[in-house]
Amino acid sequence: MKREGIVGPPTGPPPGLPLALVQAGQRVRLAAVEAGYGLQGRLLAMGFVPGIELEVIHKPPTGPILVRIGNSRVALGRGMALKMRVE
Amino acid sequence: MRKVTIALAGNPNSGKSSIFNHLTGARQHVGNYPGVTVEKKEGRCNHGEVEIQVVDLPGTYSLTAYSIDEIVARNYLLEEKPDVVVNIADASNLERNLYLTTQLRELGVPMVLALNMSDVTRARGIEIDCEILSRALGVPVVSTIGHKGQGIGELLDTAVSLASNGHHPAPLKVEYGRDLEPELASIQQVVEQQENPLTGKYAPRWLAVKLLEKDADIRRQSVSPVVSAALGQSAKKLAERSGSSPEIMIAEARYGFIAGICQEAVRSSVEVRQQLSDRVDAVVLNRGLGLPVFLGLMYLVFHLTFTLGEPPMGWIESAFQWASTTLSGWWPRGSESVLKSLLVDGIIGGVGAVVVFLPNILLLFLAIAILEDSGYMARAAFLMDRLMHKIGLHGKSFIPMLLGFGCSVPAIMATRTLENRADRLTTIMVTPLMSCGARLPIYALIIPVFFPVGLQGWMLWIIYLIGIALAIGAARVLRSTLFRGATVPFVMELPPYHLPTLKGVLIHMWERGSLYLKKAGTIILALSVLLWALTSYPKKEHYDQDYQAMTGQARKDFLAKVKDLNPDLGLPGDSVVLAQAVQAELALAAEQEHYYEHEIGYAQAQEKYNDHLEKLKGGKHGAALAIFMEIREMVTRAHQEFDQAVEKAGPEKGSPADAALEKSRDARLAEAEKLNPKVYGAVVKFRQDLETPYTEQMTRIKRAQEAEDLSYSLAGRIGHAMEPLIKPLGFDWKIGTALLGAFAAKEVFVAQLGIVYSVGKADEGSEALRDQLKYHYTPLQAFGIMLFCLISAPCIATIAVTRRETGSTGWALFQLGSLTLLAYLVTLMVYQVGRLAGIGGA
Repeated sequence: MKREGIVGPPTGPPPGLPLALVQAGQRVRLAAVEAGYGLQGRLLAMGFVPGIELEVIHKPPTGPILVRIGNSRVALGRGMALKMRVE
Repeated sequence: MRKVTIALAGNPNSGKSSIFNHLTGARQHVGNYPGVTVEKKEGRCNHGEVEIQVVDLPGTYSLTAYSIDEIVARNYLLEEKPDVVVNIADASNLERNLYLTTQLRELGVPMVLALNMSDVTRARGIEIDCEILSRALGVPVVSTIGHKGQGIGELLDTAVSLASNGHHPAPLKVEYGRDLEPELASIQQVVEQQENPLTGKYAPRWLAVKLLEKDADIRRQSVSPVVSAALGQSAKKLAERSGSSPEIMIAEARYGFIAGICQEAVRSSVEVRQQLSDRVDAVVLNRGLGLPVFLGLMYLVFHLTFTLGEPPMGWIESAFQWASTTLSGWWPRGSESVLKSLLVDGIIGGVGAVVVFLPNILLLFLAIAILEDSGYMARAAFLMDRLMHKIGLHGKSFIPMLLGFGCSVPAIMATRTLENRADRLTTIMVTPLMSCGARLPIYALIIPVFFPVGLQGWMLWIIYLIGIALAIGAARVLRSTLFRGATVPFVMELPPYHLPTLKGVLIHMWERGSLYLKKAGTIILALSVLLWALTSYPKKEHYDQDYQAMTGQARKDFLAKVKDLNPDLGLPGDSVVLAQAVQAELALAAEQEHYYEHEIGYAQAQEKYNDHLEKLKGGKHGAALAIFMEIREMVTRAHQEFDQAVEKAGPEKGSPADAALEKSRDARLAEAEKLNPKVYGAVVKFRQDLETPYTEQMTRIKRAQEAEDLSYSLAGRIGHAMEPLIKPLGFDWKIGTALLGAFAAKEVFVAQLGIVYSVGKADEGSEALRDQLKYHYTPLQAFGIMLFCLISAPCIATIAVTRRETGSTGWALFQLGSLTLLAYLVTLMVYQVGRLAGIGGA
């Protein structure tokens, strides 16, 4: 059960745009998360379910980005943000 | 009195710990859950006639086993069965917080929901109808404001009445929808038919949900081939039908359920977006401004820690000084006693050296608690993540490493915030490379001896940089070998900023500070005794040199020379009156060594001496003796008073104040000279050419004896035995012995070196020790010594705390061994290369 957290249709590329490419100040909807079991679970528990609205609050040229989800601010590593698809 | 156990459960940053602090105050106990390194906080409080035991569970977002925290929280709820679970939810972020609430309800534990931070919620224009919420969830709901203590009484009332009526609500049945429900039903059926160790313990539906959610802990315990097959089939069916995986569908269903409740219970009148926290973050997280703010804050923390810590450190030092003087007073003065030596030199000396750092430690923790409670620490981790990522670590690893410059012990304890075990172990292993405060005295002793003033600051800087560079290198190596695996992606909630409360901050400070004290009381105490024994035993019975004969000879020589002064005093060459007076003085000193000043024997000796002197003065050539003694008294007093005044006022050499003092001393000396220039000359000669060399000679003999004692002791022998091993590093047995002391606590190195070099009590300002070092070592060797002290085996307390935090003696020994090996290799390389290249006078 290695890469079981992969989301999206079993075939074809994952939908949408990586969250890491969204500009600061924009609001987007989460489409899918591609992460291993533990992280996937934690993200789900923190509210990162498909369809949720996210706002990119802060995005430095490199390093983690800051997003608003509901009423909380969550820092996401760059690598993580690349694996989150939004639309 | 009735007893009730309450467990606090809630998300990180939900205000759980402020409620816990409010409930229990100082009556807390911090420990570990058995077998794991998750902190277990417990406390007690009384509510009316009920004694309440409060357990603070780890802050989690969920009860599914994603990390050790969730497993610990869940196992506690299921196995210890607290009477009531108080679920603390941040009301201003209700939907996310209700995710955990929903899972608690699915578990069916007796619980009450506390809507915390209700003031913030109201300010944001959000209104929550507790009535509706309570009905929808099937549990009582109470509004609280944790840091103000509001609503806590009502919360306890509700919890206690729940505990006493023993009402267990039926587990909540979340409707998982038409895709999931059939799969849950089929898995539940398989689970029920199977012989399963968990079926008796947990409800079958709950087990089915957890299994489908891929809960690692539950799966590990209960998966049989049949269950596994059923799970695989379900996952496949779900993927075909809805293109999603079961854990996401389950989470979506729970959030759907919550959204339904919130729609009815929550009314939001205005949407406030740009909040205060966002505005602060715009500055603090900004590329250009964030780093200066961060560095400034860090500077402030360290600066305050050390400047504010100075006075209390002085008090502690004098307290220990007083204790050792008082204790010594229980024994006759000058007597040899094993117990006295153990108590004064071993225990008070050893423990005192560690406790003296307590003010620094407490202040450092205070500053950290303020940064943490205000919400800034999470921002610091955010800022540093980019940098730390490069060495394979997390932003969160930065804080412990920073603390390492103060003391490795609290630094290693601070790694508890890292969830990932590989990250945490790596951070623990490399933290001792951050040069801690206890190593500073070593550099402060050595650097001024071997390096010119212009280079001294740079040397210190280089030493610190080498530590940091090695830490980075070691972290990279560890991360790609022993602790391999991708860095866990950085996901961290940044809590809203708020003003820390005094109580909360003090409790946090004390939690960690008391751990340090406990360490001083246990490990350090035991080690101090061991080290004392190592340096004191075995005692040498027969010395290589006859020290008694040597002191006797020195005395004899001294008295013989006294006779040479006879012509100056106008005495016949063979007059013994002066020699007799000096002899009486030596006898007085020897006698008084056995008594304290307040004891009768002390005064009796003085009286005996006075009588003797009077008799001599009244006898043959007594008049010459009398005037010699009078002028000598005047000269001695002039010098003494000058020294005291200098010590008290501490004027700079050559300053006007210093010149004034010198002038008044010289005036008094001139007065004495005027009385009788010839005798005055004899007095000066006596002081300079006879008395001073004699006392110096006596000290030398005593020190030589101490050095022989140490060389014979176990510590000395170990040092000697180590010599072949450390010779390639340019170290001799004396350094080896001092390094042994440094293992107990780094700052012991200097004191130990003072003993081996027989210069008596040494500190980092000791000139006598510096002279010895300059004579015995080259700058290259000195650099090697500093390098070795920087890198090598951290002190015993660090090893002990590593063992505790990793839960494994193996890792502690690994840290000890690998750092010592690293120190050896680096020093070896530097010394040998330096020697070949002819650098540093080798």
